[in-house]
Amino acid sequence: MDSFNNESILNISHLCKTYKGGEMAVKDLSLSLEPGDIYGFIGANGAGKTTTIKCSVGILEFESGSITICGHDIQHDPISCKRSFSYIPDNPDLFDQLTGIQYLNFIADVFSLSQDERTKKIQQYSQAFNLVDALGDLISTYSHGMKQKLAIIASLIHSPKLFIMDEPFVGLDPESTFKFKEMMRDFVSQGNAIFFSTHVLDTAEKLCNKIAIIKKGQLIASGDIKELTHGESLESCFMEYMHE
Amino acid sequence: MSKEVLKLTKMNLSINLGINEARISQDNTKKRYFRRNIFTYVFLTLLLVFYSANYSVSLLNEKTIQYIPVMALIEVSGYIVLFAFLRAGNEIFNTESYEKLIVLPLKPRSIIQSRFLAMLLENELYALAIYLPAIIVYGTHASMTASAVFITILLALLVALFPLTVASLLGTLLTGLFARLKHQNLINSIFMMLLMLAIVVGSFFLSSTQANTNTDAYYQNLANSFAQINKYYFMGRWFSSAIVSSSWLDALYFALVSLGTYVIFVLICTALFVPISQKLKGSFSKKQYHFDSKKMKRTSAVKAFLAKDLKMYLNSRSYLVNTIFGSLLAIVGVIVYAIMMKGYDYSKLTFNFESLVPFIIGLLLTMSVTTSISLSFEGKNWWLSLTLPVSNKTIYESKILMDVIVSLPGYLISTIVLACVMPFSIAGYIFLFLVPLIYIVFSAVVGLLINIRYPRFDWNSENEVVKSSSSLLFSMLLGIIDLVIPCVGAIMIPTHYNQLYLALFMVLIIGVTIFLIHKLNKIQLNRIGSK
Repeated sequence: MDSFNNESILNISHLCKTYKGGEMAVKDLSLSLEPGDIYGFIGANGAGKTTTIKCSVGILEFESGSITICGHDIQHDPISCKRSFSYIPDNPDLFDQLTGIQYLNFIADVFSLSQDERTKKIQQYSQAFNLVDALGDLISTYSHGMKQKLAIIASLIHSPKLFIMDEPFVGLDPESTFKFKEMMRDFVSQGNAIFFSTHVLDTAEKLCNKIAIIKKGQLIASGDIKELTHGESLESCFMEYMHE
Repeated sequence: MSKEVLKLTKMNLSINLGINEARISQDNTKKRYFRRNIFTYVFLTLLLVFYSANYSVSLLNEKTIQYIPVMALIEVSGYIVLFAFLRAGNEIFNTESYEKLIVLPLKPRSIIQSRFLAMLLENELYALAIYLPAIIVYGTHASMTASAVFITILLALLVALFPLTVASLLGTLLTGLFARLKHQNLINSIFMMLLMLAIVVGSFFLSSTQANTNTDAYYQNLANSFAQINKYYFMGRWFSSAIVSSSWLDALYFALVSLGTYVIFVLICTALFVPISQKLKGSFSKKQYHFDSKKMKRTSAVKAFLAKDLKMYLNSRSYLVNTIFGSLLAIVGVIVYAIMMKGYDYSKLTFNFESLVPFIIGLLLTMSVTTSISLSFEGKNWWLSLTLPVSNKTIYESKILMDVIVSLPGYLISTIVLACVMPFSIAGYIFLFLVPLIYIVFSAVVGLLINIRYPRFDWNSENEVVKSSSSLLFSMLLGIIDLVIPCVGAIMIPTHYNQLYLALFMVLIIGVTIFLIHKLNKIQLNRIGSK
């Protein structure tokens, strides 16, 4: 587990995170994502998935261990890290007082996208997710699924190397879910990687090439999905780990 | 009052004041929020007690003593109408909890009553802080019968009801009227500001008509004004007569009208509750959005954050109205001053106005800075600032710039008008323009640091972060202290040292501002609110 190669897109090494009050949310967690990986992160509620993700994207500080994204350390060089990834939280609260297009333009400005580049990508992705008509409306009027689509479009327009997502499929309609899965496969085929948490084991099984299972803040299994499941379903494999 | 209403009211108060979180949560931050909320309430209450007692004592004259009760009622009504009006619509038609409550087997009437009752209990605290000191001052200097004392106690329970009902009714009508509009918050804010402007202009003219008279004439003027109020404002007449003349009949009229208005308000709101709530929650679909490449131009990250912050600011009624007040006061004050003091001989003044005026303008412009809640205002969107590839400096710069931009109209109008009407020296003109500008930047930085010290991101309603914000209160207090000290110095320093005094003060403030910006830029975003 410790011998990560230099090609890692995301490298979490011996991560420890303790919350106020002394509760240890993540204990000595290590994992690595390489180009082409779709890495599913599964575990029960309160197991430490969101905490790990929030540490990885720079929202939470942590006491020990290190997290590097495309070779940059999230604690020492956060801005370079943040230029390489896109993060979508489980409940995407986006600036309600802005319209969809204003929000996308804001993100494009932050990532210094040129006028032509942003116009092309916003058109491409908003058409793919059927959100064009709503782009002129305030985000406060969007449904949960529409906000999720807008967050996905915003995360795609600046061509990141890594996607980090917390429950990305919640609220998406079947057509958008299908298209998003296709985009995820296409995205990793270009040498990028995806790390996402999910409770939908069926989706994880069909989509991911690697899986990490977390229980009470500790990684209890990780690696290639075929090697972990030994031909069984991911659900039964997961239940076995949970009851060990 | 049904059990349903009481239970909902208890829940509303528990959420609004943060009682439940403070009692149950293991998170110390919640307990700190609660303590700061309580501190804010206690502090405001004490301010009102002090103000009311002080003003009531100033009315202890044979011509005006009988008007102390009606004055207390007017103060209570003014305070409640002005402040409750701003939030009543948002509170009664709280869209955040609408869907959670409407699916439960609850009567809309109970939901409205509980939301109103929670506001009434909060406002009753402030009402009593004004009413009781005034009545105590009155009671100790006028001979009150036992019957009058009893009436006074009974009316204390009703004193906030009528003004709050009127404020809520107006707030509801406005919310209903603007619910159909896309930019409802901006239009609502403009309307609120116009109302506040009218109140400020009115009070300026009222106080200035009484200012230049001798003591006896002053009391006579006041007595005449109160007599006029009693003549035309029936609630004031009944209230005054009930306490001063021990009139049970007038007390009954006051109580019946207060309760009757409340019943009418509940009936109107019950009829409008579902349609207005649905309009507020509804969407405004612009069919076929067309891409306009002119609107897709690239800008820098600071400009992007600044534009985003300004849009959020202009779309938030409570944020805008609560932080623009100082600028409005400066503009109106200076214009009224220019009209009233036209042709005034400044050589009559015993102190040098040149060193005092820039500080007064600075004080008004920095009364409530936007930066003191600008980070908290991000609320649940804060994750974006933490995960986007921008430095903390970019975020801080955009917040400071927004405060400067918001203060600019007030700054330019007030200083230019004063420069036109007051005979400053050359150095005096320079200080008139420089001192307020430096104070605007200084206050913006201080406000941001206070918000970093006292952030709050987990709010559900804008009112929670704007109106109950301890960082806004602390920055206002600090702003007053920062400017009252140099004002006192400006009056006390001999005239020939004034320009040196101003120059030294400016250098000091610039130095402190640079030091604070340096400190500010060292604070990482993910550490804010983490302790």
